[in-house]
Amino acid sequence: MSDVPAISIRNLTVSYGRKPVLVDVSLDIPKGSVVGILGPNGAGKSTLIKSVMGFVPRDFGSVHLFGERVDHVRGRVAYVPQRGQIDWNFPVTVRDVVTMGRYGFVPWYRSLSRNDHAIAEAALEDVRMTAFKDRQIGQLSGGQQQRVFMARALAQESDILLLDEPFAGVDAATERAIAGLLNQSKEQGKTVMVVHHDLETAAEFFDRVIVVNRRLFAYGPPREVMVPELLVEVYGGKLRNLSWNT
Amino acid sequence: MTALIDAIVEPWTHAYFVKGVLGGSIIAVACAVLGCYIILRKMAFIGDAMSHALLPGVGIGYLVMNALLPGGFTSGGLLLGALIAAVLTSVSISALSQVNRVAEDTAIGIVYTGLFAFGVVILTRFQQYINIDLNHFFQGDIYGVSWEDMWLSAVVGSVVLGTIVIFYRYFTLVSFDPTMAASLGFPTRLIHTILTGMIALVCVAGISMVGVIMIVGLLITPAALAYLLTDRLPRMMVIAALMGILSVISGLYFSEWVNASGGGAIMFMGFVLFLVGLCLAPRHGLLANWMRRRALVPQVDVEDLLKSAHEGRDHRALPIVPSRVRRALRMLRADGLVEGVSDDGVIALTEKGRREAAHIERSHQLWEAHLVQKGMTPDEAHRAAERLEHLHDSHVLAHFDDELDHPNRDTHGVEIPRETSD
Repeated sequence: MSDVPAISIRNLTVSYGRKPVLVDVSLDIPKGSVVGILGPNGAGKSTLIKSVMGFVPRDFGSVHLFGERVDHVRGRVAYVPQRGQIDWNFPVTVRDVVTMGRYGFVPWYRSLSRNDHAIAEAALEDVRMTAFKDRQIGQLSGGQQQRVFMARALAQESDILLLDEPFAGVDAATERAIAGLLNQSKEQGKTVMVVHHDLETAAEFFDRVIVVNRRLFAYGPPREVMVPELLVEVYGGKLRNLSWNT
Repeated sequence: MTALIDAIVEPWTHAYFVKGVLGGSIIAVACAVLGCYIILRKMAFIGDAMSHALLPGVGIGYLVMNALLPGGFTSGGLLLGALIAAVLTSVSISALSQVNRVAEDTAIGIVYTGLFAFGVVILTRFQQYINIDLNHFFQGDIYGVSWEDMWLSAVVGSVVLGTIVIFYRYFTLVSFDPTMAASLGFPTRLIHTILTGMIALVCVAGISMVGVIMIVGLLITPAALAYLLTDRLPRMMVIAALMGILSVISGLYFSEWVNASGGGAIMFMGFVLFLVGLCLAPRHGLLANWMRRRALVPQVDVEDLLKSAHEGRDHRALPIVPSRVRRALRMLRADGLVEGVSDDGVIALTEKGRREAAHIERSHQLWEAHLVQKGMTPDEAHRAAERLEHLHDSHVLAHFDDELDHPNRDTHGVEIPRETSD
């Protein structure tokens, strides 16, 4: 069982209308690894993550999670959206958001159990946001907001964690907190995929990186994959001053 | 006095008034609660479109029902026709917005005017068979509520409220974070369709009372008002419902007193309530915003005050408007920087206050020295430093200090205070 990859993508091809977004992507992600997804804007990074969640219509190919078809194992995947996708004026509190992590466990005719609330509280404690639980989410700093959504993902107790640009525009303290949570998830045997922008920090946060721009350019340990020739090819010479020295 | 009491009590002696309050309140509550999701999902325009697009459905439903059961149970036919029209509207809007170069709001505009026009054609062509006039469609007749209408709105109200209470988690998550909802396998499309269907339901039930435009008002205005007043969704729903009822009751009084159309008066009072809320809402209202802005004390004022104290000058002689000086002084006191003010207007600083003042003084001196070193005349440098001293980030000052080789005295020969850590 242990050699079944957590995420197995075969020949995945996705297009929106006539525009291809991902073409023939195949890769296996072993259980317990923390993988960064790199690529320029519009490269299909978010689409890759969404197809792991199982609701992007595929033209071709397959996605399996732990050997099962992705649409059969919904709810085993937790997702932290990009900050820009959330309406921060929405009238929900920190506690409400974290509790949403438990919605997938409760059938419609039942209300959340005491256990569900306890799990949500514990997740809040994990990201040190308990003191803010009655705040409306718009009244938090960017870093705190990110931590709340991390707590929601923790409350989902899922095996796979997907994060869309969690490091974008956060302060140093939050960056450390997120990095700590990535490590903690890894120790618990969770598999983590992170859409990431910053090439320089990729080696520090991830076991492996996926370099994608419509098609898969490279996949492997950061120091092997992120060679200047490849990155220049992928980013089309838009890189300045790459400075990760080994 | 008795006239006033009369004006308040008298309307309740009329059955039509009581029925209007009852029927209007049922519809207002259902609309208000549903409206919370409509404004949070930014579907207000769809609500508007939906209500108008119902016209052909209502007309055809009436015709068909009348043909099947002459003179009989027409409100069932209206309801069914309206629901079909709602689904048709919703489906054609989403189909049309798939087309390149037709944006969603364009699609909404095209579909609802098209269907509405079709409805007008049907209604006018078959005028002699259809007992609905267009004026009624626009204005409603809240004083002419029949028991059949009353039952219809009671059923619709219970269905809408029941659905929202039971599926609260689903509606909320789909509205707040559709991506997560989809990843949990929630039927996001279906939920959207159900919301649209419920808009159609309340429209059908409410149009006969308040008319098509006012029903959109009941959907949106009380919910928008509640959104200004609270940060919690359940509370927002309760407040919206109360505001809806308040609009109905105050509107009906208003229409009694000035002898105006009931539907119009209700929505007009709803609008007035919204304006009052917009001004007075404790956190998001205009007045609160204005007071917050007013309470802001410019940092420059505070620092100029500190400097005047440091130099032993009369703070009232500063070229700042007195009200701003008072606010800055209040802030300094609140921060524990001020000990007291002498009769000649010199502010006595606490230890902490002296430290801050020294920091700004030092900033002025270092900026000045820096500018002189860069070739400015001492006079120019002094004047520029009056403004630049307010940029006193410690790193910048440390940089100047290094650059000038740690001077002890400034360009005027005055001692530069060393930085003391707290």
